[in-house]
Amino acid sequence: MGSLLSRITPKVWLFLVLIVVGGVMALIEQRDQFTAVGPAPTSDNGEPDYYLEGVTFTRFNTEGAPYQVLKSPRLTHTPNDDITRAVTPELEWTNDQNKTWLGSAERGRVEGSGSRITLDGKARLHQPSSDWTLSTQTIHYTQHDSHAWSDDRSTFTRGQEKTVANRFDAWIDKNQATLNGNVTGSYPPTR
Amino acid sequence: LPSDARQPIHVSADQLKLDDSAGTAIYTGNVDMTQGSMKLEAHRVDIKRGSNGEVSSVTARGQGTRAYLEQKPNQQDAKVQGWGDTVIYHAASRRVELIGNAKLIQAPDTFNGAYVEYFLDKRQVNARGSRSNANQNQNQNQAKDGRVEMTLTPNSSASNDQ
Repeated sequence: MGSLLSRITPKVWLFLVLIVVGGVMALIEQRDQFTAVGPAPTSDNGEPDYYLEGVTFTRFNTEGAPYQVLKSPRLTHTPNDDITRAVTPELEWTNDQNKTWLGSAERGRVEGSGSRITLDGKARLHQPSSDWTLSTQTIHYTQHDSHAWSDDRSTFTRGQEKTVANRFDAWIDKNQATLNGNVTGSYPPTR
Repeated sequence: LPSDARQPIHVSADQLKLDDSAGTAIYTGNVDMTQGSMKLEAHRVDIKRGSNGEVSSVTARGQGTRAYLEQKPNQQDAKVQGWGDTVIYHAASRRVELIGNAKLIQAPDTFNGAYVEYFLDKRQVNARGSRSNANQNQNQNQAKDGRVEMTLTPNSSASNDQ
């Protein structure tokens, strides 16, 4: 074995080294493809012009303060209707009293520059500082009046307090909410 | 019943308005509220919560008809019934205030006045006439001369007056 190795010429050694280095480089090159996500999704909303993954999308007001943050593992924008669709979106609004509201759902739909948002599928609106939670199927939101509403049967909870109604409206800037239609609520015992 | 205070409070209405800054929860429209044997009916009910988040007071107002409250002191006795333009229930002290056109029936006795106060657990009644006689005429149900009117009936039977 030893006499065999000694008879290999330097040129052959060099060739073998090149083969090994090339093989390692090829492996590294392919690794990116193993972790890359599949091709752009085809959807009946038209061909998306872009999609983003692992997104944090922050909007700032004229004073430069963030007022709306959208997080999503995947955003897809379709140019023909100028709609951005989000997977499991998480929204965060901060109002003038510096109170935060959180929104989440299975699917999100942002129209234009975020002027109108729809959260669909186990939609939820939560105000942590007061422990308000509004849960329903679909929540709509319009930016110009900070108005969130749902026309579906909705549940409001706060601690052990729970109220259900046919629909709800909430005003994020004023920290107010109204539940309408067939309202039934329960509060824990007072003692 | 003595166990009422340990029961959850149930409310039904047409609408609930919540204002976090004001700390209010206002039910309006056919409001019906129950806690054990206690029952409250009104057009509007404002619920105030204490710092621990529990209900501290309930203010009920009528519209067209007076707010109404009833409660069964215990299994044997007849239910106590109260009416007022405003009915305030104080959860901690288990005290009810009937304000304006107030009437309380604690069988077999009846109390009418501008203001009646009733302690649910002690079953004690305090009643007061209207302070000024000026608004006497406006309230037909008001005791005629603004004073408290009591009907203590040794053997009277409870009547259901609405």
